[in-house]
Amino acid sequence: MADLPWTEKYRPKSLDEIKGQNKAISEIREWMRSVRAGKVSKALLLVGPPGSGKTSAAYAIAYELGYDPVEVNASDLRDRTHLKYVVESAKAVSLLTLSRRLIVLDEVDALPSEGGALVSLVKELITKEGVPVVMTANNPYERHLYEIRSLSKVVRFYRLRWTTVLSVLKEICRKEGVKVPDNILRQIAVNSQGDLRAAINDLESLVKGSHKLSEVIGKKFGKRDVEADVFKVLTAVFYGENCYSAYLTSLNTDVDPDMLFRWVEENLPYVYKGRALSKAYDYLSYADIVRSRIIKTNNWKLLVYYTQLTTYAVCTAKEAKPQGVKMKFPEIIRKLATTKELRTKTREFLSRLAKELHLPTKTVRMEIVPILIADGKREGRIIKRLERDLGLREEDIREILEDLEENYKLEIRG
Amino acid sequence: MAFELWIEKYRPRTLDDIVDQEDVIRALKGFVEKRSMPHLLFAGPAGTGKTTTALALAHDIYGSEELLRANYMELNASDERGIDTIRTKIKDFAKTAPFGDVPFKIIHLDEADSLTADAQHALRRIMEMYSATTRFILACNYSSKIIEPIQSRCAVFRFGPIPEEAVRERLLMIAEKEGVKYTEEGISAIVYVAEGDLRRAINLLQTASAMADEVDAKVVYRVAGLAHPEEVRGMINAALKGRFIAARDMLRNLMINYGMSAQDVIKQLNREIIASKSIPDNMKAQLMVFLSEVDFRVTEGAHGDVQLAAMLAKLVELGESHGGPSLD
Repeated sequence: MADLPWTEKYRPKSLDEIKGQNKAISEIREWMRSVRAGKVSKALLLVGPPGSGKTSAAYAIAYELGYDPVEVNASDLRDRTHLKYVVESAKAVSLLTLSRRLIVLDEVDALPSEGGALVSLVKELITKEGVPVVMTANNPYERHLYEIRSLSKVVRFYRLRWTTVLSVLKEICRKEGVKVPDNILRQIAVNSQGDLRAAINDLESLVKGSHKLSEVIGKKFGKRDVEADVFKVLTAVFYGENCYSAYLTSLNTDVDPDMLFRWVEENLPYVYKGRALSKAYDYLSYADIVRSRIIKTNNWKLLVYYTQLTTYAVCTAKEAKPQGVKMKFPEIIRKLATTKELRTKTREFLSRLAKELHLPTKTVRMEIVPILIADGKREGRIIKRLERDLGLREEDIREILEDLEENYKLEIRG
Repeated sequence: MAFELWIEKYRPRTLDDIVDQEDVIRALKGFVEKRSMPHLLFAGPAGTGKTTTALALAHDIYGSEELLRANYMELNASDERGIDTIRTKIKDFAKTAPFGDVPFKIIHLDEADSLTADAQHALRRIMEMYSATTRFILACNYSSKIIEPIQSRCAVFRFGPIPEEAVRERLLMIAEKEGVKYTEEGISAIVYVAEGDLRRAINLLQTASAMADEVDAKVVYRVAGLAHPEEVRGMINAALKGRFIAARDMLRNLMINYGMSAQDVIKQLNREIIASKSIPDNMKAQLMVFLSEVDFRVTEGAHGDVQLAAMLAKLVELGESHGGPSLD
């Protein structure tokens, strides 16, 4: 047991243990009810990004139904006689465990040349034999899955939030009895971009002493002691009485001025309140203008004012002695980093549409995106059309729309 | 491109198909006959047909889709990164002779009034440099924001808001063809909300019909609300109640996830605050002075979110001294 990789060791056994996919799980339970009632009319197709819980769900379904999972892979599909054997044995009750069987087909989107065999297998199992089939795919819009989609109930898994990933990592650390600093766990969670499997792998190799540790930390903090330096400066600025020495502290460290600025900005409202907060923010606002002038005029002599405003001036703004709080990593840097890839995709998509529609991108955002979101919830006709006309992948379009939708908060009626 | 998007599907392709803006169209048809035209400046509010007219004019002059594609370029001044990228794109497009038997190439520069005066002067020089092979159609909301030297080099055409009746007619025609179920009040609501912006009206119709089985007034108002995220109000109220950190989180959400620019946020914020019935007038006056300063700093500064967060801190302070009012 001890030698199992953590991704297996901590794989959820039941559906309830799968984190952050409540909607998908309730849809799966609905499908399971029809299986239990002996009315299997559709296969189950679990779609979503890597490490979001699809395969775990497939096995958890078998576990909860009390069926034996039988995995069918690409080579099985290629061998006709073997395939026949699979079907035959799937029909029968296992002699060993007296359980019925459930067929699991992992990553069917990766089997383009086995599309035909896949379709006939699913048809045979579902419609003729009533054997439940569960498939997983990253991208369900591959051409060879066209017919599979119509034979299946499609359940969508979403990219996990980094907070969800973090909570799982913490749980694993607790169970393993290892101590990893919070900020490093957070870093792993953020870096995983919602891929829990990747995050657990990172954590395992970090704890088991491979070289990943320095890599993981290096990505954000540069040198290991930089963060200690940041805390020293922040403490001097927020709590120190001598503001000149707070400024000097900042000069004696290796902290990047922009990074320091964001640290100060992030933590300011936790320490200062009311008038002091507004006054300090006014200094930061001015520091930001100085920063812009440095960029525009390439006049690096101004940098000293930037640093002074960020440290010395902010230090002077406090009124009463502020209360002590724990310093937080700048949220804005994290947010920008996590969503950068998606934001680039979104921007490209919107400007592409803008060009085709002869519109400014802001109009596309305001007027066209709501149409696409509403369309995606119904037949998805427009999106399919876009896939064809613009040569974009439906999967990508849907991912972008899902992201945008969180903000529009559309509800579909009727 | 036969899009499923109605604004594109029902866009008039030729000048003859354009039913509104008669005076403008009549003058433009003269250019088509003579196969010659000066630079043009189209001024008017959004959704009144400036882009469509420019496309239709080019279509009629060139006579075929192929020639149109080869000789017509569209740029949006607010989407491009400054006058330098605009200059490069224009240069690349205009340096070669027109393709086929056509009198000139056409460059349509939309939202020209978003360029600063300096950039417009640069634009004027670019226009002169390529006038042997190229005609410009500049579009703007306000011709007063276009510098004199450019205006004097262009024939200026004014596009008025589309009359309510014409908007209604067009909506009914599309609803008919697309088999959209609607109520009388639903269509009236779209006409009312769109304020003479035909494009917005058609987009509203399509959004509403994609969202509900029947387009009624309730759906329309809900759809129309999308352009003005509730979050802006939520953010202001949180700040006025002294909840700075919550307000700053909402701000970041608006800017990062929703993609609003700092300018958009402050514009919306100003509108909400000025129109509020519950914020006392003396506090509004203080806010006007302050917001104008923030607006300026947003342009001057490096990070819009910092400038706006500084503004939220000020809102917290002002809210406190006025007993924590909310927007309504």
